[in-house]
Amino acid sequence: MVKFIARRVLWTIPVLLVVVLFTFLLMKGIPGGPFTREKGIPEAILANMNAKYGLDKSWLEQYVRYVWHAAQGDFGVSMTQKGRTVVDVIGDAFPVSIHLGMLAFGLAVVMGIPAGIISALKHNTWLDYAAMFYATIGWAIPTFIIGPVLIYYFALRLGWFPTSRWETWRHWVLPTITLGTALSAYFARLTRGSMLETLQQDYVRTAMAKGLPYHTVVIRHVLRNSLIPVVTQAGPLLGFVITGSFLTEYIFSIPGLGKYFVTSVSNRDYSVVMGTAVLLSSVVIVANLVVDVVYGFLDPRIRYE
Amino acid sequence: MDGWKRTWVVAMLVIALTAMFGVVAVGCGDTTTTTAAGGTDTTVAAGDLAEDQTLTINITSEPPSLDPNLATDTTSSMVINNIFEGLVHIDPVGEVFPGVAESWDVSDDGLVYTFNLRGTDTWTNGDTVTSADFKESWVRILDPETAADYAYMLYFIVGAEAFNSGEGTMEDLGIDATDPAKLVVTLVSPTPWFVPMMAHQAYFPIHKATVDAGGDAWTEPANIVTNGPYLLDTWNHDSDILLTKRADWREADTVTLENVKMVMIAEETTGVAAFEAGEIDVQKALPAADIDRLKTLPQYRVVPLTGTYYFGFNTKKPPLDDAKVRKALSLAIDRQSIVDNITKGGQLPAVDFIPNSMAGYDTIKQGMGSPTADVEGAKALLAEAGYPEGAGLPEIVIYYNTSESHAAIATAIQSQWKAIGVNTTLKNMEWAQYLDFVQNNDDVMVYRMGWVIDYLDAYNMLELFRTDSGNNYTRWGNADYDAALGASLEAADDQARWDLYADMEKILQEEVPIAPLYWYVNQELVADHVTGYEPSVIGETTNFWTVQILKK
Repeated sequence: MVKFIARRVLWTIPVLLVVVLFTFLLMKGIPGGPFTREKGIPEAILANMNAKYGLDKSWLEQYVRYVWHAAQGDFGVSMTQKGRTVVDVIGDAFPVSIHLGMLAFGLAVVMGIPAGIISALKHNTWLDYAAMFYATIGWAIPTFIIGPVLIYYFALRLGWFPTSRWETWRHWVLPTITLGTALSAYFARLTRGSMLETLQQDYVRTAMAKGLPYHTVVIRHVLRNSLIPVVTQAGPLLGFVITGSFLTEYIFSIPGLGKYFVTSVSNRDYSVVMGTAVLLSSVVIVANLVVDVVYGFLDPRIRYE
Repeated sequence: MDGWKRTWVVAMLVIALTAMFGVVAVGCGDTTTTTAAGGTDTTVAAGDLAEDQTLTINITSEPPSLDPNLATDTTSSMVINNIFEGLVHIDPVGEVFPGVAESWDVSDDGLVYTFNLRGTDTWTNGDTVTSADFKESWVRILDPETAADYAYMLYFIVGAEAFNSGEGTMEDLGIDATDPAKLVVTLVSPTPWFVPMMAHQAYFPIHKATVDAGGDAWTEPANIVTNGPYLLDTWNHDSDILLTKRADWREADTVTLENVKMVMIAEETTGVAAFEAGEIDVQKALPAADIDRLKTLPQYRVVPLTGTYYFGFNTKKPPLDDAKVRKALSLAIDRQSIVDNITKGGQLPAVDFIPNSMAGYDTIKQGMGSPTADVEGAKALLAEAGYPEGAGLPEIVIYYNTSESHAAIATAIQSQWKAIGVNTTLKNMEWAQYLDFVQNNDDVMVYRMGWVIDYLDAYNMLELFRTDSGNNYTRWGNADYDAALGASLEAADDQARWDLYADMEKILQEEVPIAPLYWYVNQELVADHVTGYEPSVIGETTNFWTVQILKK
C-alpha cells in the first residue's frame, strides 16, 4: 500500500508538468494578452509591462522559468490584481471554496445517499417516487435558477437569511443548499441504481435464504457493495466542488476560487490561470488517490501490490 | 461586464460629483458659496442624523489595485479618491477647488504651473505632505520599471515620455520640488485642462518610504500610509473593504460619515436583492431584465456619464471606403428606438460624438447623427454610391464582443440596415480576442466600441481619430482634422478651442468614420436615508465625505 501511494505521488510530477505545458500553450494560443486594453497603450508602456512580467522572453524560456520558480513555491504575481501573488490570491480564496464545498458535499451525502437507499429498499412505493422526483428536479434545475429563487423567498420575502456574502453561518445556508441540491440528487440516483443492482445479486439472495435478518443483509452485504460506484464518483466530485463553483459563488458573492477559473482566462492573467490549473489538477489527483485507497477498505477483492 | 466599464478612467470624476457640496459642507476657506449646485440643501439638523453613520455601498468587484500609480479602473479609483488626496478637487460642473494645493499660478505662455502647498497637511503616519511626495509619485509612475498603464496620463510633462520610454532620465523631467511647499511643473505644450487633471489618481502623491518598505504589499491596511479623508481600515480581498473617518485630516471636523463599508457583489440581481433587503444603501449595476420595474422605484437615479457608444467603420475596407456608404449606414440607424427598446436606462441617442454633458457642447455640436432613421435619405446616398437599393453591395459584417446587450443592438441595426437594402452578418468574439481583432486585423468591417472620458475636455474624445492615434481603429485619417487638433492645444481660450473642436466634429460628420449610437449613463439605486450622495454631470459620486445618513 505504501509503495502504491508513493508511486502515485511520484507520478503526479510528470502529470503536472504536462498540465502546465498544455495550459501554457493554450493560453498563449488564444489572441489578446494581459495588457490588451480598450484604450490603447503607447508601445513603450506595453514594452515596460511585458518586461516586468517576463513576457518579452521566448515561450520556451517563459515555460522553463515558470516551472523552475513554481518548483520553489513561487507561482508569480497576478497580472490583473497588481501586487498580489498567485499564492496570496489562491491562499485567500481556496479556504472559502473548501468551506462551501465541504458544506455542500456534506449536505449531498446526508440527503442524497439515504434518499437513494430508501427509494431502493422501498422500490416502486410512494417513498421511491417522492425521492426520485426530488432527485430529478434537483438535478435538472440549474444553479442559476435555484440560487436567485432561494434569495428571493428566503432572503427578500421572508428575511430569514442574508441575500449574499460569506460571514456568519446564516450566510452559509442558501449557498450550501444551492450547491448541494444537484449533488445530493446525483448521489440519490447513483445510490438507488447501485442498490437495486446489488439487491438482485446471488449472494444477497443466498444471505436472505440463510435466514439472516433483513437489516443485517442490507447493511453488511448490500450497502457495502453498493457504495463502491458512489465512492468512485464522489472523489472527483469532491475535488471539483471544493475548488470552487463559479455560479454559486458568483450568485452569492462568495470570495472563493470559482471566479478565478473564469476571470483569469478572460483577463488573460497568465500566472493565475496557471496557478488555478495546477491547483485543480493536484486536487483531482489527490481525490482520485484517496478514492483508490478507500476501495481497498470497501472491497476486499481490490488489492494493491 | 462591459469592457468599457472595466477600463474606464474616472479621471475628472475624482472628487467630482459632490465636490461642490463637499466644499460647502467642509467650509473650505476658498469659497463663500453656500448654495449648492443643483439646489440640493445639504444642511441636515443634527437630530435627523442616524446614530450609526455608516454607508454600505456595493462596489461590485475587487479593486485591482489601491496603488495610485497602478490603478486604472473606476472601482479602484473610488477607494483611492477617498483615502488619498490630490492637489485639487473638481465639482459636478468641472470647476476646480483646492485640495492639497492651496493655490496655483500659471506662466503667461501656459507652460509652467506652480502649485502652492499648504504645508500643514499630514500623512497618516504624521509626516507632512510636501511637494517631494508628488514628485516621487510622478517619477515612480513614469519609471519604466513600475510598468504603469497610466504613465501616459503624465506625458504632458516635459521629459515624461522620453523617461518612460527608457530614452530620457528622471533628471530631465520638468518637475521641480526643491521647495517643499512649491511644486513647479513644466509642460510640453499648453494644456488647458492640466489643473483639473490633478484630481486624477495618477497625479496623487505617495509616501515613498512606505512604498519602498512594503513592496508589492504596501497597499495592505497594515502597511499603507495615506493622506485623504478616510483610512483604509480593513480589506478582505474579493469580499469587502472598510474605510473609517480619519480624525486628523485637515477638514475632519466637517465630515459626518464615520464608516464606508464597500461590499463586492458582482451579480446584479443579487445586488438588487441586497438593496431591497436593506443590506446595502447603494447599488449601481442594475440588471436589464428587471429595469422596467426598478425604474419605477423612488430610489432609482440616472446619472449622465460623459461617453459615447459608437459603431466604427474600417474606412480602408470596401465598400466602407466610400464615405457615402458610411453616411447612408449612419442615416439608416434609428437611435431613439435603440435607447427606448434595448438599453432602456435613460441613455440619450447620440446625435453627436461629443456628448451633451461635455464642457462646450453647445459650440461643438453638429448633429451628425439623427435620432430617428432617414430611410429615404440613406437610400438616395446608397444609390449615389452606385448601390441602388443595396444592389451589388458586398455583404457587411458587424463585429461585437460577446454580450447580450451588444448582440441586441447589433441585431436591431442589422434589421434597420436591411430596410435600406444592406445585408449584414453578425459576428461576436470574446472581449480580449475582439480587441486584438479590431486593433490589428485589417479585415474588420463594422465594429462596436465605446469611450468614456479620462478628463472633462472634448480633446480626450476627438484625439481618438487622429491619423496615428493608437485608438483609431477606423484606419481613417484626415490632415485638416489633425491640424485642428494640434491647433486646439495652442488656442487662446475655451471658446477658441471649442470652435476648433466644432470644426473637427464637422469633419467627422462629413467623413463618417464612425456612427455614434448613444451617450452613456450610470443608473443606480440609492436608499432614502442617504443624503449628500449626489449625481454630477461628469459621473457619479466617488467622494464620501459629504454623505450623511439620516434616521430611518
